Amino acid sequence: MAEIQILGVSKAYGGVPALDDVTLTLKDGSFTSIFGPPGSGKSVLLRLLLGLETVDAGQILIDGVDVTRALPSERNLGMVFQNLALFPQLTAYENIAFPLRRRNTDQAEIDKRIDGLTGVLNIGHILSKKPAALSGGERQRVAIGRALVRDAGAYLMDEPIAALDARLRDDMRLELKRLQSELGKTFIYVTHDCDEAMAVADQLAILNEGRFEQVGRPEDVYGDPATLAVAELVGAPRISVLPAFGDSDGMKFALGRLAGEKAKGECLMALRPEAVRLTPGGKGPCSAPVTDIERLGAFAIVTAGRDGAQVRAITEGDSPLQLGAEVEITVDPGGMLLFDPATGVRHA
Amino acid sequence: MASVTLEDTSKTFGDFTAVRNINLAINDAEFVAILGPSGCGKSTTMNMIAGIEDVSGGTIRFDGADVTNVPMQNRGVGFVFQNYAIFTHMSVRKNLAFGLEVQGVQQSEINRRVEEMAEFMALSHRIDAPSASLSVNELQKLAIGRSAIVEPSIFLLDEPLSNLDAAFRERMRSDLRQLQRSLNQTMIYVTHDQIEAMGLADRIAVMDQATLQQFDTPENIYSRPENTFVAGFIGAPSMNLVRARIAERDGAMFADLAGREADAVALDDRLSSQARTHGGAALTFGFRPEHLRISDQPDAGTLAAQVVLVELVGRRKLVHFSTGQTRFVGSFDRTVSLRPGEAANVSFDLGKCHLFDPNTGLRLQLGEDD
Repeated sequence: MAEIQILGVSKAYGGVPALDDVTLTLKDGSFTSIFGPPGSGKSVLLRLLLGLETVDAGQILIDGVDVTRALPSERNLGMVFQNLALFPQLTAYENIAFPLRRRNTDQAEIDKRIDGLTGVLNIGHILSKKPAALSGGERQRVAIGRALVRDAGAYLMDEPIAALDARLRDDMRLELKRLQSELGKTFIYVTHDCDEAMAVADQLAILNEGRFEQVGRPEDVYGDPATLAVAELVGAPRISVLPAFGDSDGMKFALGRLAGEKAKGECLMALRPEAVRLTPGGKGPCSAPVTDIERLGAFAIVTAGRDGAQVRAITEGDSPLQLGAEVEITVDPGGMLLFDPATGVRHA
Repeated sequence: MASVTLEDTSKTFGDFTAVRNINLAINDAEFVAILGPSGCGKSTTMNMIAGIEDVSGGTIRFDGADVTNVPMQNRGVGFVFQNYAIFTHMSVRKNLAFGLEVQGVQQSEINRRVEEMAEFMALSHRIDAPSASLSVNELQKLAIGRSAIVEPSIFLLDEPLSNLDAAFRERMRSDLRQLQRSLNQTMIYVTHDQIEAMGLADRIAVMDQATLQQFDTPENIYSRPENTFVAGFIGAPSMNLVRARIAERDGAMFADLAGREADAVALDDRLSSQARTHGGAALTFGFRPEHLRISDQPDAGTLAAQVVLVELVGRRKLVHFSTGQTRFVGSFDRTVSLRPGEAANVSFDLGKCHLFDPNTGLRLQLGEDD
């Protein structure tokens, strides 16, 4: 059990900053997702936490103890890697037992620990098999077991389910969430998949270009993004971004007027696709032709626009809208977010 | 431009059958996705179309002409690989021009087409940059542009977007749709990602375990899956497939989904006739997470269930229910208020639900249009 504090940590490679003065607290027993696009610094942060690399500046505290310069072995953190790194010649049982054997744990204790995990991980029936005989999901569970068998203060996971099929990912995501709440341990989950990051965590930290853009409950980060970068990173299909009042006439102007009084001067307008309505036979100021339809079964992404302004909307999967059809664009209040074009900060 | 036909095409590697007796008729200028889990035989199928792999049995035709034994370089096929194979020591311009130079196209024509393609792929600002300096996203665009520029009669893409991040994949799907519309080429696209297949293709060939499971439009694949494999593979989260005891009471058909006869769900006319015609007492009831509703009051159409877990996934809330031994998932608007531990009366959009034979896995159908 551990609380982890990252205080003003920076790291640069050859003068290029990878992490720039980042601060984050991971409460004891919390489940935190760190989400960011490729190159945002996620993996660097993990390596610094584990002690595989040293910080240029700042401090890392575990339960109040400064471990900034401590060796990896002194930090008592468990790690699940994306590429699992199971030993092919060892059975699932021996793979899980490995970290304990290295610490000369006695057999009775090893049995007891693994016994305690087989239920939660549902691996009782595969313990005697070698990795080659296991399915992707089973291998994943063994790798997680190997991390959890150690009584670590916190468990770090780097894209632990990215390599699995979609359906298996859904199952494993649930397993992890259940596991964390049953064990009550501190989990840190690093992913570039935003849906996954939102679904598992009770704290979501958005990392972008080496800085935390926003940290909060997933529903708050989604509903109330602090910056334009967060609005664009969180949520699929993508939010539509356009300048309000960018032109003196045309589509951007008309859409900008939807923002009404809220839009003061120059600002960027971001429209959540689920808040955009497209009504057939549009003749009003925001009428535009449908320029793209992507039918994805449960829903469709329909794009409409003109004059260089395109807006994406989510419709029913069997929406009768056709390419080229004229529609009137309206936006539900609350689905329109306004940002400062210079700083990217959200207008109140 | 060309049509592509596979007749009873198979591929074996020793004892292992990678592709078993596939029949596919792809129309001229059609965009077809070959979709399936890893190891299903989709890439082998594409490699046989390209001529990278020999066939072990069957015939491949382009525009009706037998090309089964025609070498790859004479088939007129353009290929975009997952690991893009760009000449990194050359500029973007040189990479784009390469295929046209090999064909001996006139320099002025090359210049024009290279500029056009760079413009279309939004690479104009990088046109003289060395390819090694491009981002992963830009490299992938260049790989697609380099193949598209020579206007091959058939354009094959093998997982072209799998290395890209989510937001960019969404953008690339839109670019690829436009590219296909403007080039009007036959495109065959291999992927394990059902969203890509659904969003891009005119028709999807779903494969599993070396065999073709269904070849149909995205709409039909989603709303009228041939069997439980297709039903479960398409859609995220996937379709709930629940064991149902079928019983007739007072002339009406009911499906018991939870092992509680009294709480069996009344079926509509379509599902009732399917169940009657089939006659089995045990069937598989299939319903998608997005086709669940919450009712205020229990009635003949509802099922009493407990909320086990709620996941917030972007704009949707995934609610996991349990009742008896049965577990299932519902997908709702994120404003729905359901909490773990709560009881709920769940009803089904029956017009969009399915019954499957539990032994064959086939969807019950009354006639072709059902």
